[in-house]
This record gives sequence, C-alpha cells and structure tokens, in this order.
Amino acid sequence: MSHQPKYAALWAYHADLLSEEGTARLERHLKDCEICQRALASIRTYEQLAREARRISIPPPDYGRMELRLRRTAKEVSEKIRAEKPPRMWPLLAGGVAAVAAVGLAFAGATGFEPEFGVTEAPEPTAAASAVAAELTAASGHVVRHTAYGAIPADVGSSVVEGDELRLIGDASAHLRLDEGTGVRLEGNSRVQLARLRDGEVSLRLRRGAIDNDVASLGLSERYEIHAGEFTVRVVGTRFRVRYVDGTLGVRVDEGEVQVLHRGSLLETVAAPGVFGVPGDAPVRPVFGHRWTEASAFQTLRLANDAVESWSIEHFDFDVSQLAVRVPEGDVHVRGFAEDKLVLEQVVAVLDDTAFSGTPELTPSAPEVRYGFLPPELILHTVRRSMSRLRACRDRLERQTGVAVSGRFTLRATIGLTGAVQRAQLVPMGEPAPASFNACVLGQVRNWSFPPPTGGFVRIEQPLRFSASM
Amino acid sequence: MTMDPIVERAKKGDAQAFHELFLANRDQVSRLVFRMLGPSPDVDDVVQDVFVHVYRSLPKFRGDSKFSTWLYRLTTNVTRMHLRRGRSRPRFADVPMPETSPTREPSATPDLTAERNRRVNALYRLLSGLSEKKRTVLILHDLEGISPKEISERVDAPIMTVRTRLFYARKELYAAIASDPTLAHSVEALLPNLPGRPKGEKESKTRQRKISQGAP
Repeated sequence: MSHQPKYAALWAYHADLLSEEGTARLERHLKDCEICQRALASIRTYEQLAREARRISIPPPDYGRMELRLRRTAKEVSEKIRAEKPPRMWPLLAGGVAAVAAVGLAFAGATGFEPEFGVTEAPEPTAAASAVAAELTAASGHVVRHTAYGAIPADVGSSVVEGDELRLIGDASAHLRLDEGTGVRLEGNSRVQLARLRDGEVSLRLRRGAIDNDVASLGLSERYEIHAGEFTVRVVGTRFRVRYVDGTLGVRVDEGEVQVLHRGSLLETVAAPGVFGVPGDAPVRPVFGHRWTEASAFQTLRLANDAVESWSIEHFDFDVSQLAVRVPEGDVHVRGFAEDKLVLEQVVAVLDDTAFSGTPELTPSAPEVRYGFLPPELILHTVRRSMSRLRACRDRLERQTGVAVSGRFTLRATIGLTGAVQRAQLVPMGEPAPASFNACVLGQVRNWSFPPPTGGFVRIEQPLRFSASM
Repeated sequence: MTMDPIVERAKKGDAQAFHELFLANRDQVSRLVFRMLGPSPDVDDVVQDVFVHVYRSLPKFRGDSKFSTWLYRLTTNVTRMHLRRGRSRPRFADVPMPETSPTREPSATPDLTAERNRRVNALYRLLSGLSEKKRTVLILHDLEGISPKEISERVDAPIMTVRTRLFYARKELYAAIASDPTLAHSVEALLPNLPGRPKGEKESKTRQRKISQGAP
C-alpha cells in the first residue's frame, strides 16, 4: 500500500529531534516502508548537497569592470542629489544654469534692472579639487609652451599643466585633450593660458586668437569657462568657438548653449545654432582625439608627405602636410588629400614602437598587422561574462519587432594591444539576422575589454548559438 | 537608529562615499548573488546591477533598518528579478557554464571535484523548479545560513511565513531529489545504511533480481 511520506517526521528524525518513543516508532515504520526510506535518503542527500554547495568558493568577480560603470552612476546620482538639495550659499544654481540665465534676462528686459547673477559668482572650491590631466594630442607648425620655468617647444604627447600658456606661431594649430572627454582646438596666432585645470572647474584665458571647444557633459556644479579680456564665455552646452582679436569677442555655438558675460554680468545666452559678435564663418569643427580618454596607451604618429595637402585621421581633418598626432594603440585609418582628391589611404598599425609609422614613404598598402597571443581561457572568461548582454540584444529585438533570432553565428573580433576590441563581425551560419540585432551585438562586443595580448593583435572566432525560447 | 557615516555621506551626494560603500560590501553581495544564482556567468552582471540599484535607491533609504539589511534585501530582490527574467529567456546553447572553483580541501581530486560540481549543478537545477519565494527562503536559510528572523526582514514577511515557506520548499525539493535521475545514484547509495533497514538487504534483493533475469 502506497502512502505520502511524512516529511516533517522524517526531517525531525534526521535532525534527532524526536523522542525515544517517536524514534522507535518511526524506525519500525521505516523497516517496512520503502517510500519513507527513499524520502529519508532524499533528505540526507539534500543535506549533503547543501553542504557541498556551501563549500563551493565564489569565482573572483571582475570588480574593476564594475567600477567603470558604477563610477558613472555614482556621479549621476551625486549630481541629482546635489541639484535637489542645493548649498545654502548658492541656491539659484539648483534650477540649472540655463534656467537661471533665462529668468535673469527676463528681468533685464522688463525693468531695465541689471540683475545680480549670484550664479556667476561661484563659491570658491571648498576642498582642493584634483588636477585635470591635459595633453597635447596633435600639433602642426610651431607651438610653444610657456611655463613657470620658461618657454619650451610643445611636443605632441606632452602634458600641459595649470598655469601654462600655449602660443601658436603663424599658421600652427594644436589639439588639446582635457580629462573627462573635453577637447580644445587652437588656431594659428592664438595664445591661451590654462588658468585653472581642476576636476569640475576648467578655466581657459584666451589672450588672443580662436579656440574651438568640444566639452563633455557638465554636471550642475561643474564649470567650464573661457575668459577673453573682460568677457567670460561660460559653457552650458558642448561645442562652441570663442574668437578674441583686438579686444573684440566673437562666439559661435554649434551645439548646446553658452553664456556670454562682461565683467561678471550676463550679456547673452547663446544657444546653438547661434553667434555672438563676429566669431568667423567656419563651423566649429569637432576636436580631434579627446574622445579617446578610455584608451590606456597612446603613441605619437608623425605624418609628412609632399604630395599631401591635408590629412584625415579617423574622419578628423588637418589642413597641413606635416602633422604629429597622439593616437591610441591599434589600427588608425589615415587618408591624405591633395586638391580635395584622395591621394593615399592606409590603415596604420600603431604599436608600442611606432614613433614614425608611415612617414614620407607612406603609400597605399595593406595594413601592417602583428599577431600576438592571449590565453584562450582569458578570452573565454571575458566572452562568458558578457553573454547576458548579447542575450539582451535578442530579447530587445523580440520585444520591439516580434522577431526571435535563432541559429548559429560566428563572432569574429580583433583584440588590439590594449585589450580593446578593434574590429568585430557577426557572420551568420544560416539566415542573416536583422541589422539592428547585428548592430546591438557588435556594439556590445566592441565594449569588451580583454587583458592586453602579448606581441600584437589577436583575432578570435567565437561560435554562438541562439536557440528558441525555453 | 544611528546611520553609518559613509551612508550619510553618500546620501548627501558624495561620490567617493558611494565608492567606499562598494568596496566595503562588494564581497558579501557577490557571495549572496552567487549563492542565489548558483554557478552562472551572470554573477558579475547581477552584482553590478545590485550596486547600480543601491546608488539610485540610497537617497530613499531612511535608516529605519540597518544598512546591511536594506542592502541584502535589495540584493535579494535584484537577483530574483534577474532569475524571473531568465525564465522566459532563450538559452545560449554553445556557451558552457563556468567551472566552479575547486574547494580548499586538500584531498579533493579533480574527479571528486568534478563529481561534486555536477551534483551542485543538479541541486541548482532542482532549485530553479521551486517557486521564487520558496527558493529565496531556502537558499538564504540552508545555503547562506541566515536566521529566519533576518530572512523575514529581508523578504518582508512574518517569521512564521518564512518557516512555512522553508518547510514546503524542502518538502518539494526532497521529492524532486528522489525522482531526479542525476541524483538517483546518491539516493540509492544511502538506502542500505538507513536505520530500520537491515544491512545487506538491498544487496540480497538486487542479487535475487539479477538471478530472476538470468544474470550469472
């Protein structure tokens, strides 16, 4: 006769919680009941499994990778909290600089009253903000760096520190990368002093000339200002030019918004697309190289060719025939133009010993690639950790379009010398997947970060299979 | 209740304090996530998600409970959400599960370790068949060794409910183990030594069966 096992009694027996009488009674029952015997064996098996599970040690998590994302989240949350609870001495800032500026202008228009802009007088930093790293990422012509110790030629790759002044002689041009993804392009005959280079507070003093700025998103408590004579141009947005020649200021905003102040009082808020004064006709060009803040290794690439009038590197243009630029290690796409025609094109493999890659002899040719080694288990470790993100691509597509991708794919990727993915390709073994799926997967793959390979690039092929929903 | 100074600083928007919270708690959170997920390639992602939630939810933390209790409750919830999402998700067939780390026992040979990992994987497979509430309580109690009182705070349920869930979770799991082919060998191995069952009985029954089937 079959019956349901008495798990409560069996567990109590297993845990030695029964009385002597209860124990004897249960053991008598056990003797003849195979069902309860198996149930008791299951209880003991479970106890053993739980012990074993407790003893399994945790594989070491990749905390470094987490920190990158968490740092951004912490910054966002901190800014939000500070915006909601403004410091008592600086209350107007809470609503946002742009909003405050708009209110101020309305006052001025209606009453003729010149508003006192509390926001223009930012409080002194209460703690010593950490210094921002600035580096000369590209230069052509004669660029001089005036420091506290005298004037020295500014080489590409050299650091520029707070207080330094850069002077561009003649037609020289230079690109400067500041920390946190902000870049500045200096035109010929310009003089710029890096008056303050602190985390969240950048102040450039434009003594003469023109500079293009591409500023990373600023937190509410962060400032980025250009001082030109008695004028101040304060960033609310991102991409703008400031021109200051013979006491005349011109501002052109191509992206975002800036405030123009005179002796500390707001003159105008210029939103893109907009101009103030005479900034020059040329559009503000994106500033080369500053987006590469995450790359860990840079090398100097020098380019010179008599047949070339202008260079294009990764779609950034330089109207010079000789150029030195700081580029991250890996493949760099270089093109040379003469009279607006492409005269040469090459993918230059920038390696740790590439000081002068593709110089005057630069001619169209296949990329120079050197292969290295990365242990397969390290590759697999990174790949496995990222699988959930690839699944998310599939889920998202299914949610949005109802299309469920399934089947086999081969993921081909090239890992550069820094461990970053240089190229990635998803090859279907059967039916091709929708383009948005490919883009999503490849976007994820390009964010993968491997340990740096030894000796050169590493190419990997990873089979992937998406099966139907469980 | 006095609030931890680091938590207070983080609540005021000190980004460095967030980082300190991460450093101070990441090992415990990783451990809990690992216990709840089992050997899985998603552990890192879930741990990161937990801290993203911590950062974003911290301004709402009133300090009514200990920060650690709040953190573990959040960890439990984020992991549960992850498991819930995973149930309706297609499986990546070609990617093997990561090997679990070997134990620290010096006597553990590779074969024994592999066998143990196989059994532990089977346990987590059976656990995934339990309802979310029962599984959570069972893992927290039996694998993490947390008291019913603390579990009740984490899952926001009365202690009696926790105990009831634990009882029924175990009951379901015992039944699942008894009928699971992967673990059948482990169960069978324990049968001859059960109290009330004379030793050698199993062997004699097996011999009789073999004889009746014509085995030598």
